[in-house]
Amino acid sequence: MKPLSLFTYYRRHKGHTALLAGIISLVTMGLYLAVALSWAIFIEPARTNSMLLKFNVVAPQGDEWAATVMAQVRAHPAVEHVIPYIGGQGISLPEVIGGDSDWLSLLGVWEQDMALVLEQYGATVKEGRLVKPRTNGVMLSENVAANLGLHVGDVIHNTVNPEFYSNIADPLEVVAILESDMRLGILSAEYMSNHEIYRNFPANFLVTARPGHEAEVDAFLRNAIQSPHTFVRTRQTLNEEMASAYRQTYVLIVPIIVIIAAAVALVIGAINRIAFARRLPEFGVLHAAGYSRRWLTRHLTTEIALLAALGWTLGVLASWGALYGLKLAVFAPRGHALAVITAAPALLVLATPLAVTGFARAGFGRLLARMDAVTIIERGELGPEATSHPPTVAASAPKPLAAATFYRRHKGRAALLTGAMSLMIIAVVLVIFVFSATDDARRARLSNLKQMSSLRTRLGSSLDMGVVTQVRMHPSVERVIPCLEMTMLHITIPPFTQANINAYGVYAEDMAYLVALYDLILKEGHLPRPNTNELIIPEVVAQNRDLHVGDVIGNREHPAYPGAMALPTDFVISGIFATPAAPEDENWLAFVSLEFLQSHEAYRLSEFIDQFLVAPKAGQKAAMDEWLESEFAPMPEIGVVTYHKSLVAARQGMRTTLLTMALIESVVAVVAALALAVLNVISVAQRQIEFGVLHALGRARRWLVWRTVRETAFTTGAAWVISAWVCLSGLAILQFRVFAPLGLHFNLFSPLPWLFTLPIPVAVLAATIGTMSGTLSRLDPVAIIERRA
Amino acid sequence: MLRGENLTLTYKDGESTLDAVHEVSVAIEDHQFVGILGPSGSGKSSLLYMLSGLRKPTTGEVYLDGRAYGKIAERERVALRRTEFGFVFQQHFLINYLTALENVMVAAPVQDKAHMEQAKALLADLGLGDKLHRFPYELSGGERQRVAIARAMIHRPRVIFADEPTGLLDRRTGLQVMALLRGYRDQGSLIAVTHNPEILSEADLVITLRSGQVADVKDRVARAAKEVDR
Repeated sequence: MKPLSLFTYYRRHKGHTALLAGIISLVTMGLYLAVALSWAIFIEPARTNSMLLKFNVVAPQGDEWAATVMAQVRAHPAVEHVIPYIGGQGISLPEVIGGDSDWLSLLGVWEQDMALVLEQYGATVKEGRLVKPRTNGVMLSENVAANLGLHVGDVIHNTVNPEFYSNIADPLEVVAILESDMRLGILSAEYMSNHEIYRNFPANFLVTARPGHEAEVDAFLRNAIQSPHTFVRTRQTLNEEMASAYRQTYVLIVPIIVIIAAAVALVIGAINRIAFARRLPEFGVLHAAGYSRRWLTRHLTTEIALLAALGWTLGVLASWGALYGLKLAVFAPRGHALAVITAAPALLVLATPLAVTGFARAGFGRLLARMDAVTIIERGELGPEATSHPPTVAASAPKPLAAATFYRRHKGRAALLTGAMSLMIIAVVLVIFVFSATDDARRARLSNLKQMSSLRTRLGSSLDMGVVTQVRMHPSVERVIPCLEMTMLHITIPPFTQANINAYGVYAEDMAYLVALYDLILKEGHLPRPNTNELIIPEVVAQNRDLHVGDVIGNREHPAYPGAMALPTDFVISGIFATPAAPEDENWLAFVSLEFLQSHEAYRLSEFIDQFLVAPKAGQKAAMDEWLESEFAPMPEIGVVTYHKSLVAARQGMRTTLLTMALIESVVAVVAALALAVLNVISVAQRQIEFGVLHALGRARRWLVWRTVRETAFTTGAAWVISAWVCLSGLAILQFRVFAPLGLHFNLFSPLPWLFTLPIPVAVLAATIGTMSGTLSRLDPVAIIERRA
Repeated sequence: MLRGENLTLTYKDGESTLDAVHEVSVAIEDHQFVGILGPSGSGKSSLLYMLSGLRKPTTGEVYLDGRAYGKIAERERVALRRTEFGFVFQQHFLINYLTALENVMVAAPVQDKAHMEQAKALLADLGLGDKLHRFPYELSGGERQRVAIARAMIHRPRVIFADEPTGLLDRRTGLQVMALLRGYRDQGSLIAVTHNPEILSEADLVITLRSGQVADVKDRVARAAKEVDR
């Protein structure tokens, strides 16, 4: 028997042990799941779905150039296979919790290469047969088929599901389900090359290295083959992209974890403080019996460290259980991968036990430094409050039973509770604020559609002229503008978002019309002249990327800014549009000359006009959009883009983020409510004499509950005010120091993120009312008085 | 004014039962000082708690101005304790994070300036005028009990219930405390429970309990009246 064993106290106080371990494990589990699920949903699909795990991809521009590149790659001694394929076609796959969908490229593979491609993928036919050349068959891996609910014999077409198969203008028949860990879709290259739709699709190459020479081939492709006219993606590219994506999430997740860990450490600290006070006589006696303060501090710290480790272990095990359940019930049936046991989240959430132990160690050290064995032994019967008497006051409070009086006399506890709750609120909402700010700033992109809408065809064909005439004749339509939309620029939206800025390639007279329609004012320079490679950009881009009139866009050797995209030809900035004074009038319009695009060899697709901008007559925008949406909805080959539709889509994307954040916040709110409920129970036990006497003196139970609720509301309210102030200050700094210099802005008082500040305080108040009502309903003043008497 | 009829309080302990108080009747008049005397476990505190409405009798009934407690709603009974009764316990039961003045104000009907002045005056009358803003742990045992007495008097209750009010005090301090309580007779009744007959020397009525039953009743007023009659 070892009475001073590290386990004795917790073995004899199982409720206390379960409580502390429970809080730590719940927080560990919540954070682990938040991290693991965020990665599984938002990041890992980019790796698990990538063909770069098996091949390097080389995409030269132009057939003649392709032959040269192919020969050059083949000649390299470390290259094992160079497999031509036709790319550009693909389908969307539903995400596991809705929102943005994943893109699966369908590979057009030639008959002679089919066996080799399947071998490289490690894929075998599980059901059906190999796709025959020149037929419209498609082979899908079983996870893709599961995701889309497809079977052998099913047909894929944009009429079947315009959301997922929007690019499939001619039906494809599922002829095989492939057994493979990869997501895979394979068509016949012979079919594609002979098809009207696909004849202009790019011919690319899959490149594999001889065993042991992967790095060499990777470096060769990136350094020797990659050029403005040859697009290269390798395993190293994927690794860099993944590393960058993970870095971005670390920026987001690590602060949340640290803040929540600190909040939990404060809550556990508050509970420990009470438990410590109860054990004061024990420490006094041990100290009197010859155990040093150092020994006691070490002993107590090890006790709490073991408890924290237990909580962490239980939390991680519970997370693995929950993930396994999610994998079986949600991910696997939808063809999504989910790693159940991973080290990184477990290591990240170590922050919780470490913070709890560290904070407890500091608290023990401070308290034990003041310990006086004789005083403790003499005051053996004194309650916990006796350990921290409020300092003498000069004047009494006029309202002694006010919440403020209690917390003025218990400043440490008030600081712990308020601090813990503030941190919990901040941890959750700061991220939502940042997301909201990002989304808000990006909203200006949609403003391009406020004055006009867009009508476009699916990839690879011109819009039917009959349709164009029909639109032009409609009474609500003022003008129909042929357009070629080009992704040319992107801007940075902090902390780590990029938004593409598309330039509209339009004819000179249409450009003048659009400038007038949007009241665009030239800040500098002039509009692009017809048949020139000139470009006009909005001020936000100029500011964001430090671009000026005369700068060149699109040159890979001399990028206009770090990470600038390469274009087949250079474009010279000829002018900059001024940012409108009113934020709601802001748009991100950029123009290039359509005459130039159509005349240049490099833009061979520009022979098709696949998009028309449709401008309404005055006051007819809503009527026009309504007509366009209803008229062309049954025609899946035609896409209508209106402001309203785009806004709905943007909100849908934001909803996924908010859903994830709401999930995290639910966990935090539950933990906060649980911790506060526990603290309340302990607090009532500690203050039972006070409650008992007040009840004996004629204060009803309801009044006592109400008083405790007011006390909790006091700390909760203070926590909300502090967190709101921190958030507002943070947002102001973000707005004026980070966004404004980049030409961006957002609404500081957007109501949605502010709503997220409420669940934690509300949960805490609800838990207080619940626990206090339950505890005080059993209050027996006579028993309390008699027990003490 | 306050009357208990055939009061019995039975505690159950598994199969067996124990009458802490057995069929005790008692009547208290306005401005009367009633002492309940008896050794430990005689049921005197239980009787006090039944009379004050803190405990419900197992059988019997308590009446205040003819109204039976049993017919008064729980909320109203709690309110009675706040408006009509005052309490002094053996331990002071002061709230340890509140000052002496604040502890008195806890029982004030309204926490306003007028009552605060009243509480200050009361504490000054009890000799604590210079310790208004001291916390309980800064006061001596006798001083704490005086604060408790002020708390019991601040709302001018009709009855003060005092349960062993001198139990933890030395003799001299105990007698001082009793003197203060006795002084309240001008404003209301006082019912004091004790095992020490000395502090009940000036009681109008002394009820002695043994094993939960009335062993003796000494009615000084009645006796004096009889002596006058003779």
